Amino acid sequence: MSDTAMQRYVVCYKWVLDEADIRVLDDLKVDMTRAKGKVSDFDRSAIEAAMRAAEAQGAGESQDKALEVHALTFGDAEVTRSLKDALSRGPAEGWTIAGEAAKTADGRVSAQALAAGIKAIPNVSCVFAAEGASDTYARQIPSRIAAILDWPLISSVLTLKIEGDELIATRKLEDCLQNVRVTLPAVVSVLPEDYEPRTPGLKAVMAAGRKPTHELGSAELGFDPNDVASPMLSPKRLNVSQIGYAAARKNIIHKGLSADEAAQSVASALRKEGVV
Amino acid sequence: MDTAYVYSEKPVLAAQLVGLAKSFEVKEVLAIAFDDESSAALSNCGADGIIELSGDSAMPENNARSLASWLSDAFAVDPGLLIVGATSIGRDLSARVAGYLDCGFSGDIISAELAEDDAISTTRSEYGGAVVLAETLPLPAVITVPAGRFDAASGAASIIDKGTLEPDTRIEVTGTTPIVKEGIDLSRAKAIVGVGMGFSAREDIALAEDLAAVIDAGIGCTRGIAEERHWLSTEQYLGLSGLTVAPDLYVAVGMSGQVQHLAGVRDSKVIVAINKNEEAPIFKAADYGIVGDLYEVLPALTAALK
Ligand SMILES: Cc1cc2nc3c(=O)[nH]c(=O)nc-3n(C[C@H](O)[C@H](O)[C@H](O)COP(=O)(O)OP(=O)(O)OC[C@H]3O[C@@H](n4cnc5c(N)ncnc54)[C@H](O)[C@@H]3O)c2cc1C
Repeated sequence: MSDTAMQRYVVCYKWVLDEADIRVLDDLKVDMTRAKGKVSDFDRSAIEAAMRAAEAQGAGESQDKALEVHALTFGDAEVTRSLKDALSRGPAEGWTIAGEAAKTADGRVSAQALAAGIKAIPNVSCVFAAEGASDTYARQIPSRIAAILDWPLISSVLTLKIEGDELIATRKLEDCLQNVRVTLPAVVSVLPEDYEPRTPGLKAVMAAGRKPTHELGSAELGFDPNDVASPMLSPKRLNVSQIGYAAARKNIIHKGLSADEAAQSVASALRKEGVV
Repeated sequence: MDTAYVYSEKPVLAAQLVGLAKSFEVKEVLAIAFDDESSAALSNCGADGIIELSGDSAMPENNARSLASWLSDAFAVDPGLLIVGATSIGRDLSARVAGYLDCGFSGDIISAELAEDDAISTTRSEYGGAVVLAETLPLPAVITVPAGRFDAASGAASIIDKGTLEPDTRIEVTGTTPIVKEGIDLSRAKAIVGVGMGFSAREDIALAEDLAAVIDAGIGCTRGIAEERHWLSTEQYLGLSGLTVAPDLYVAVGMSGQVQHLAGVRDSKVIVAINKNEEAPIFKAADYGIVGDLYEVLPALTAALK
């Protein structure tokens, strides 16, 4: 099957710093110098959802490639390091948009970059993403991509199935499960609940290193990812700052008392606080 | 900015959004509704007026494109702010509107205030709650606000303008099943007992239920209890990817206190922790802590509170 006839599902993922490695210093400054990179946890579930949707239609089984899952990411120069991890989770090819603009990006910039990437990849029929990334968890990227492409968005997806060009999904809202149907192309954002990511085996990790990868630049995107002055890459926010979160708590900890003594003491404190 | 717009499909939340918008001391706060039933539900939300834009009420989020086009006309005259309730529907709708308007967006804010030169400054959590991000968005902008963060406004509001939104029929709703919530509604509970992975058997959750019965609390849990062990429902797990709650009292039992869990409970007024490991991070997040085996301490606490 020719390249142009092959359908592609694109799954967007973000290479994030591991929040477990972040240290908040006494002056509430945030120390990220020891934080390691990882594929955002929620995005691993999005990759899993894309893989299952494609595999259910026979993707990856025969030489006749009618459908493939491709992974797409936007980040600074470091981001290419994420490809092996992402591709070990199943996608056939990886695409990166790597440049300085990622360092100052807000949701607007990230979505513009990813949408341009999606347009540069041939024959994309469905875009998969997580609701939010495990660093910012701003939950705006899938919505913005859908708006920029002017494609329908199905958010909060618990489970989904694709048959031909029809996508059927169950969404989980606060007080109901909602079944919806849409004709592709569409953007879907998935919840992690039913998409426990697979653990890549050694074979998958080895294979990932040999999968095709592409770096998208100005020729494909229409802007240079290093050009922070490009209107496409200028954030819609000013004055960004981060401080560590400090819990103002009493920290009255009982240790070495008998269970009864400790319980009595806490119970009387709670009565004084008026919360029981 | 003369006008701030608010939208939530949940009328209680919409009134809280009006409360926040009024704190900006703008000339008018207008509430948006997508059908007459929703307009009626906003009749006491405290807004200076209701704008009823008839659109898709089965999937309000599918009004995003046409709402953005309606707002872009309004914002061309007066660069304003759209404040949306941070529910699944609200998050979907609001960020799509921001996408169509190509403007700034701040989601699930902790605080918001007007800044100089037609801008809004917000704070929000990042990195699972370890970090607070402060950002300033030039207007027009879109923000989302979680339930319970701001006091509700009240006062009669009536429809001042009606319009029709061009329908976006690309997505079809084929059915809905209500999620039946068992037990106490955790988002409103005054007290919650949280069950962590330190419980070694499902039956032992009875110990947490005993305490809950005495202090009239709901039962919540960490993610593993709901998603790995399936001992409690996924509606009961608290945290970044679960529910965010703010009870007067949270009793965290047999849980380590990872940031992702704490993100959902840290607005509790008082936090009590029971853990056998004195190094567990939950103690840093607690007002009162007991280092000990939950199988001894929890029944003792229940008895002491009887
Ligand atoms: C992106 C992301 C999102 C997440 N979102 C959430 C979320 O929304 N909600 C959530 O809860 N988690 C979430 N998690 C998981 C979170 O990081 C923790 O893994 C989880 O909260 C830990 O649950 P736990 O404290 O019950 O278990 P553990 O960390 O295993 O802790 C068990 C604790 O029990 C104590 N213990 C054991 N036996 C006893 C005993 N007999 N008596 C007293 N104490 C005992 C141990 O000392 C230990 O501290 C998320 C993780 C990621 C990566």
